Amino acid sequence: MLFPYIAVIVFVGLIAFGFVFFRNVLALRQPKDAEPIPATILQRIAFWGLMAGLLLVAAAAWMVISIGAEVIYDNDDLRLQFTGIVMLGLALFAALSAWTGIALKRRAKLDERDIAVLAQAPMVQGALMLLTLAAWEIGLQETFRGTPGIPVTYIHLMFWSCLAANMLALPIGILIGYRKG
Amino acid sequence: MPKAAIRNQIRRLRFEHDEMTQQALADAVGCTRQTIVLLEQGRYVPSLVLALRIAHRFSSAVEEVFELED
Repeated sequence: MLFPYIAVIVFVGLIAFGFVFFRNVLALRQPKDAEPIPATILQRIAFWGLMAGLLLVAAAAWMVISIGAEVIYDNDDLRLQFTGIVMLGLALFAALSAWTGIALKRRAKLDERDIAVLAQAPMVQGALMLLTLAAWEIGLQETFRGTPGIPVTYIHLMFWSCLAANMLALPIGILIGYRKG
Repeated sequence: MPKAAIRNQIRRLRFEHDEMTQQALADAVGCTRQTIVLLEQGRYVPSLVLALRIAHRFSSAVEEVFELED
């Protein structure tokens, strides 16, 4: 089974990307001698939301890689734990979205640049969704080539991973927007 | 973000107005300090509303604060 190895490689790649990207992510790119500028509220929320989201994704990925997708699917307790992690991620995303929605309505905490960054952020969602689907397609094709079918577990995992990618892409898009200035 | 195509006198005007801080100007016009920093560095083009608010804060006409780059 190639899939666990592909998943580990993708996961390590994501962590490496995250490490490089997040080193100075909250610092606005400034000329060398200029003083550092504090992050905006939306920037901080996006950063900590992304960190919490990555933690949940890492927990879910760890479960799948260490225990095995099919074992989790067949065991009620494990499946419940996995679903719990996913639901926690959804609740976090809903809470952050609600805060952003309220702030947008009141226009109290966000200025026009925050709103412009927020409007451009969903572009990352589409790109990350395509990448996730492409990774699944390659992984499943290489793992199950020549077999009569794909276990239904992987279809569920594909759905959950697309959902996770969609949720993580929004804060990533926001942070990229601020980095661009 | 659109590339900056306008110059502005915000930094000079701040110092002429009792050395107003970036944060004080940001609070007065309803934006973040980050936005003021980027404006002063010519890395952000403000909306008309923000440009008018900034000009109003300095009791200036908007074309005295902002001008198109050639």
